[in-house]
Amino acid sequence: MNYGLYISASGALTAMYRQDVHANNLANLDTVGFKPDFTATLQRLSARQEDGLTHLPGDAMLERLGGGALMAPNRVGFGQGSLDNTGQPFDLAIQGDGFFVTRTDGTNIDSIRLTRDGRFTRDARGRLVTAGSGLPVLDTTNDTIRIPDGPGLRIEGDGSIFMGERFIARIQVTDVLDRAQLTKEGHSLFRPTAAALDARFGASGSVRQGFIERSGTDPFRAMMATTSAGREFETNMQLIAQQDRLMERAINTLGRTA
Amino acid sequence: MAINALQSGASGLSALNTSLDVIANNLANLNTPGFKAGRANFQDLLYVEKAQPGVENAIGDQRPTGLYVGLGVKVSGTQSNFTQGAPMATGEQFDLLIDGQGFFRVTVENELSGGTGIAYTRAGAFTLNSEGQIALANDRGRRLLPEVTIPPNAERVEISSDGRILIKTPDNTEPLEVGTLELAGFVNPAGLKQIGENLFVETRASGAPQTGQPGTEGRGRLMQGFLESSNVDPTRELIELIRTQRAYEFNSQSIRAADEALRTVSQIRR
Repeated sequence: MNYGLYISASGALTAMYRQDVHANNLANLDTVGFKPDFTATLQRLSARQEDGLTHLPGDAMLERLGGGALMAPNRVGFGQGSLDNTGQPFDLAIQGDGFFVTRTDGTNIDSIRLTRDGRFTRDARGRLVTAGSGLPVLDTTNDTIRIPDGPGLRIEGDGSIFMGERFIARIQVTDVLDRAQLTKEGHSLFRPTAAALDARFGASGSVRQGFIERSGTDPFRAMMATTSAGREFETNMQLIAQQDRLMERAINTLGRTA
Repeated sequence: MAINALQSGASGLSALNTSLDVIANNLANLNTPGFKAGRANFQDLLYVEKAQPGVENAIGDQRPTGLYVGLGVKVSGTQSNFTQGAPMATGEQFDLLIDGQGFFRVTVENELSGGTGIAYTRAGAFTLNSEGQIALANDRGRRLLPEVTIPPNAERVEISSDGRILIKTPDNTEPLEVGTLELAGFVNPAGLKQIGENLFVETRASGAPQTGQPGTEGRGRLMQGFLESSNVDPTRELIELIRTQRAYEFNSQSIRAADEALRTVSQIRR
């Protein structure tokens, strides 16, 4: 069969995937603490080489062409988003490296999630929780933080919460060595692998009270990527149509028996 | 497929629409005493995992990172900003400002308040109703709790910063205490539900009110003759408006790009 048809199809599929990812980045242009995904494509080997079936016979000429394009794993761009002053006492942003730590379920260690979205509030029990999902924010001892009533709330750069002169707790700001171990889970949360969780360490970034971190999406770059992926898709589709016409010729013109 | 991009773009438009509504409401209430600015909070939606990290290929290598596509954005909630509004001097004796945390309690219909019959407000523009009770100076005339009746012969009403209501009558040289005003505090004011008319009602998220005299247990103090102005910052709102409008345009572009891709698909077979 026409090998080029499949190569063009793989190009169209990866272009489509890039468009999806960048459209999501654009949709989250205003999501606090959002980190954009970067896409990459890699050259695909022929199926025989890819699956390690080297004992099977192959077509040496086609194998040099490879198998088209494949989506490479996404990378998350963890660059610093711009800080925006809101003046609200429970809006926190991390300047520099690090993540806030929260958990989705009781004391289960597997349920620990990291986030850069520092819009917090107090729940009905006085605990510091995320404003979006109501998940508790953890302190440096992995415990929830209870904030008493009263004036004079102050959160220092290292995450320490003071009520006047009284120390309440210290918000955990953690970092992992290999950010590739973090998977995006939606709801502005990152799920770390167990290994990354064990090896986490105190982050170098500092906490800024009254600020939020804007989305890391660069709208112009994302816009360009969405458009160029669309064009790339179109080109590949036209090539598919071209090869379709070629085959039509082969069948109906060349193959016509007089 | 391009359907995902289309969905992401659409979710962006719908979330930004909500944000636009919130900003417009904030700007509309620029001069509403006691109004607290709101904001829409966004979160990224779910991700489709096309390949999980850690999966092995034929020669035993593990894929170090996953492959996933996000599905857009959603509004996770709206949040009121309970920072203090600037004091506005009016000189009216029944205009009260809370300097600090806390809310006035007023009576409302049971169905508005989830059965408690009490709503909370920071808009302290009060007046007297026909029975001499202190009530909100609006078309509803909701009564302040605990109910205080000012005798008709009162010449001047003084309300101290700790909530004591003192009156001066012609036949009395000493000020006479006729009642005490109370404020209610909440653990989580952001959990209060807004019901319009500058009123809030308690919910499970806000916690139960802790009622007591002004100036005690973290509750704010009262200032007579002042109103709390709206805490909407017009500059910030306008910047948010511009940001929202531009983000809206960007998302409409990604919808157009996805649409073009889908059209190409539909036209591939002549």
